[in-house]
Amino acid sequence: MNVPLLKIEDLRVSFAIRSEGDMPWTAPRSLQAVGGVNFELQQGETLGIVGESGCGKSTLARAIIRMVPSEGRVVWMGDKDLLSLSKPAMMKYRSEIQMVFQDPLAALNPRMTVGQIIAEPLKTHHPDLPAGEVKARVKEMMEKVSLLPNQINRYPHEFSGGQCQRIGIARALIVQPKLVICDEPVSALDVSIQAQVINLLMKLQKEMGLSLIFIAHDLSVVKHISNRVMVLYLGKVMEVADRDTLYAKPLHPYTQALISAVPIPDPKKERSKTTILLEGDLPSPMAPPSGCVFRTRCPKAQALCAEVEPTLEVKDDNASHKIACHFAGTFASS
Amino acid sequence: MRIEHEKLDGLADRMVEAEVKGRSPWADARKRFAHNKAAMAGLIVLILVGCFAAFGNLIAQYPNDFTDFTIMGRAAELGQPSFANGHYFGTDDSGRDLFARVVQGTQISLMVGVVGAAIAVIVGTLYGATAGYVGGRVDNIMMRIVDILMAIPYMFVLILLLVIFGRSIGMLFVGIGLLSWLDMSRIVRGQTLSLKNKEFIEAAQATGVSSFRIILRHIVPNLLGVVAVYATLLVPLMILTESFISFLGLGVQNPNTSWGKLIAEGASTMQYGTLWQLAFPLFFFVITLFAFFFVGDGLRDALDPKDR
Repeated sequence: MNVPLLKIEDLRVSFAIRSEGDMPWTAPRSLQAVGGVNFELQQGETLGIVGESGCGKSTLARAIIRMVPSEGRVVWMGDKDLLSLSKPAMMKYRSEIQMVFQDPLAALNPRMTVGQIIAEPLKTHHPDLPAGEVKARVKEMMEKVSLLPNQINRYPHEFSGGQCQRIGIARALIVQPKLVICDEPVSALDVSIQAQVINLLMKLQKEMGLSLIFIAHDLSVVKHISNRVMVLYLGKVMEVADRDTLYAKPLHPYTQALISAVPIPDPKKERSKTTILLEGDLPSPMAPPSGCVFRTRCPKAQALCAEVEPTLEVKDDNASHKIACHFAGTFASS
Repeated sequence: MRIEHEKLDGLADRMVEAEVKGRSPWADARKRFAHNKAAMAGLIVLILVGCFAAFGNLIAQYPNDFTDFTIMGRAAELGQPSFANGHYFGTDDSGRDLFARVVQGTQISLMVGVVGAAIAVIVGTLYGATAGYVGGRVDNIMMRIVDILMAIPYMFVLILLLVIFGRSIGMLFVGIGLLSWLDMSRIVRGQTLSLKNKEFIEAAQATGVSSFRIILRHIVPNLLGVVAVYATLLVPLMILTESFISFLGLGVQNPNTSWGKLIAEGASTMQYGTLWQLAFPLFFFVITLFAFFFVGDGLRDALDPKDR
């Protein structure tokens, strides 16, 4: 196997939380948003990250680009640990890793024209490019994301949500990154526009040889775009597998519940399918359950689950399919 | 089929069309402002007052420090406003031409207002934006400094400054400038805090734009709406402060004058039948303040249409 583009080892993010009435000298409590995540990403691959709100998906993405303080190792191309780099040394990698955000309009500065917005990363990383060259590249990029290049002087509020997201994508791709982290890029868009944006991303990925980390809570979108899918719950990886394996044969009870909840666009089938309903809410990350974090809501939880935390390991004959569950595979998927 | 072709041609034309000009949020605000009658009237009044200050001396028949000894002491009988002797606004008690003096007072008062507001805008915006953007301990220290400065009774300090260092316009500017930016920095900090977590700031951070550039390119332009509104409302406050100080007799010195000083002089002689000495400076003072308030309101409506 060749060197992975990105290798995450035991990435942990915790936040110090002070509650309202705390005295200045009381130690802040810590909230673990991401607890020891490991994964690899190959060049040109798309990794989908799914999980419910508040499970640490976005925090994980921000930790990779050092927007939040974190521990562990983020190894880039097999040799550089991004987390240990100094700020100026990190600059070089900031152009190689770009991000696409959730809310397309909020991610664009309302006082800047589209041209200025798209050119910003280019100007930051190549400050000595002549203005004409910058403009030419911006126009070329706009064409690539199917925006009319003559609208370069328009402002974000003059565009629709889907167009704004295209602007966001253009801004991310103008510096020719190797990895683009998409943080729920389509959840704020209409379904029809979602498809356009996803297909655009896939087309550009092929053209430019990008790797993508695609964060979403919509499993069908993730299924469409990803090569591999990782399921997060309360900052921990529950299951990671190739897309087809995960959707056809989910082994973790949480994944099974998630997949059973995906609506099928056929009313007859939709009515006849059984949905695994999970009781309760996501537990507080400030007081995570002992043992397996999912046990409080797991329909299959046993006494062992409260005592020992399951590790992420291979449970069946497929070496790329890892599950963090003591009893994975002992019960049939529904 | 024919129609389809036409449509396609039209589309192709649009594609090659020259760059479309965008409608910036500022252009939108200008349009809304132009539709606001009260604000436009205020703006026109301000322009007229500005012209009066700038070109009034060309019309004035006398310099502002010229004393007409024939009128001196008999202002009530001889010093009325009259076109015949060239004292359009009459004279003051010492026989000086009130028109020239009002022109000069307008210049000084407007300058105090505009300079005070300008200091507030520049210092307050940068200070507040830095405190809000950096956050944490730096923010705490910076804002506690503002709190401490605010806790000092400023009128008292201003009066002390003027008494100790001598009464001069320069000192007045320093005193007003020291105080005016405090409120502005608080307002700007609050706005920055709400902007800081917007995704476009995060996008800039993620791509490695330096904090300084983020403040200048992403935070400040988005603050300017609030700042512009507050600045237009600050100008009359500055003028009022200066007038108050001058009314007390601590502000500008003879032969220079300002609205506050002219009003003070006019008020002290009003019972002797020389009401014009109060009326003319007061008229300019009042219309200017009203105009600034109307323009400020208009700007607020124009810049945040959501808040109406």
